[in-house]
Amino acid sequence: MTPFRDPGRRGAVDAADASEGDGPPAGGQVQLRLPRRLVEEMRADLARPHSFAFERIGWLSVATANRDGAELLVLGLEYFPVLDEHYVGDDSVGARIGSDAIREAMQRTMDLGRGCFHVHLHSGGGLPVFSRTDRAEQPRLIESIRRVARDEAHGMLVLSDDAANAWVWTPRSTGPVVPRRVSIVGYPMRIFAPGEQPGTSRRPYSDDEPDGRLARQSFLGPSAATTLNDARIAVVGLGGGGSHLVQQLAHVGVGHMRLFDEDAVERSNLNRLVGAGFADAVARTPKTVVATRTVLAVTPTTEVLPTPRPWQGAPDRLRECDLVFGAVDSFAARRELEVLCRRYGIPYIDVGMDVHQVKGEPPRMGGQVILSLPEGPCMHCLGFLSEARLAEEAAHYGAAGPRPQVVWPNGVLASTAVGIAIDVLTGWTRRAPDTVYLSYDGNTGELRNHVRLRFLPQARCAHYPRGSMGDPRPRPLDAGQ
Amino acid sequence: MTLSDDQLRELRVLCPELAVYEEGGVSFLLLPKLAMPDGASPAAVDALLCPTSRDGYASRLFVAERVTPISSKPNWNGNIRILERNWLAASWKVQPGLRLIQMLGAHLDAFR
Repeated sequence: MTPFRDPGRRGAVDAADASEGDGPPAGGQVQLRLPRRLVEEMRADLARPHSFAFERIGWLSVATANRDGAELLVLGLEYFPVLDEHYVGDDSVGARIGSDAIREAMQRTMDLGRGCFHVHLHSGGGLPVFSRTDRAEQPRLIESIRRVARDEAHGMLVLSDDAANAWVWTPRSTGPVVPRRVSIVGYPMRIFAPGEQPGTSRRPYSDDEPDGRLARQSFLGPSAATTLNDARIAVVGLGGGGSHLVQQLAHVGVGHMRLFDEDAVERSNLNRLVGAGFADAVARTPKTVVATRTVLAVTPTTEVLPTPRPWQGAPDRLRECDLVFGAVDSFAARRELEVLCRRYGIPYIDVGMDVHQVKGEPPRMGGQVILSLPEGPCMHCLGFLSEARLAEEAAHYGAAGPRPQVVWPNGVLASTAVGIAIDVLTGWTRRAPDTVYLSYDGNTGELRNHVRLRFLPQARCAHYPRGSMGDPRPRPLDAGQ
Repeated sequence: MTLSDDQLRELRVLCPELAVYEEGGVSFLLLPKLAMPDGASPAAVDALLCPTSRDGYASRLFVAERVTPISSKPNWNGNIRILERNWLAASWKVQPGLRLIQMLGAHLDAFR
């Protein structure tokens, strides 16, 4: 139940009703991720007028994931509006729903085995806060719903026109917490940190840029510095492409980086590995050490978490990121990264180059930058990954020998990829791309939209439907199976 | 390939805890504690059958840990991430068009 509000009044919440004195503890080790399309779907429904209620309510089904990681992930899956006839007339509140609506939500929660969030909308901009009535009444409702799915996260979500806030009950917790991060995943990304403990220095570079370091990129928007500083970005593969990526991410002010590579610097890397020197090749310095050193030389305040082993040994570190770059050297490795990103609702940017030798012709240098956004076309939809290509790669496994790599195409492709990431994070170009697939011709220096973009299927990606987000769940089998 | 009821039933006799998963538009059959051929070690491992073409193989069997066969010496591919678990796979070709139970048996020949 939500408080009565004059429907003509704008603003994220009634000021007199916005006291946070009786809220749950901040800083809960929880992230809530909501696909942008889902948020738009919820906003559109909640903004519809009702014949007598002043506002609307809905239910959000969520997946609970990363249970063995440092942060629990709660992923928005599907929205269910409260039916018109399930509202009850009560002028003392904005909307009151009857027992039928609650029973239906409980039944669905039990049937799906998913978590359930109560959702409503505060029109207006800015981070919405729960009103006194929300705080008094919704927790009782959530406690009832929790009884039918104790092992799932449940909660209450309030949307504004451009932000979201939540309280989350984690499995087996005694009460709600404010999630550390709530993010809306899509173009542009929106990352909110309602649950950061007051007084923590999470913003060494504010939007006012006291040291002027980011003054020349203020065109990215008034909150861009904060967004970039709050963003947690992973780079998998710290060779020719990845080393450029981390250096540029440090320069633009990304505050949290997770770096993955199990290899050490070799002499043959020195033709392209930014930040590595002769001594690193002699000492066989881990590439994570070189990358960390490069980042901290630019921004000593950046939080860097290096992982000098395959990411498959620490997948929780990837799941907790807002955006992942893949600068890996096989199609199979790209497939695995995209699978993880789709499963946990993370934008993935792929960077790669290759040189092909055709008999009698000069070498052909090519490459690609791909943006794979959750719910958008995936690398299979784009035709970049295919069973034929993966089969060909597998057939040559271990027989490829040293593959040609040089510094300048890595620089071009990594710079382009960083530009795409900054656009996704800040929305500064307002292009709202569903996907990006740029093809690079290293012989001519041209970077252009790949021809396959013209033939993309209009339907949503069938390889990664929204319902498949979260930890793997078996498909229900018929009794006869 | 469609996973027909009768084929799944046949497989369930061998592995009662069989479960079907989807990832990236591909179906996988999880076979917990699948018995390995007599003499192979360990005697049972969690396995994952991909009944459709994968990486150039008509079908593929992944196992959660390295299996020491009785006499064959398969080449191993490791660190394969599927369904949020790490798997290994023997480099072992099986002819296409088999029923699931036959397919599984043919893959297990790699460990005899």
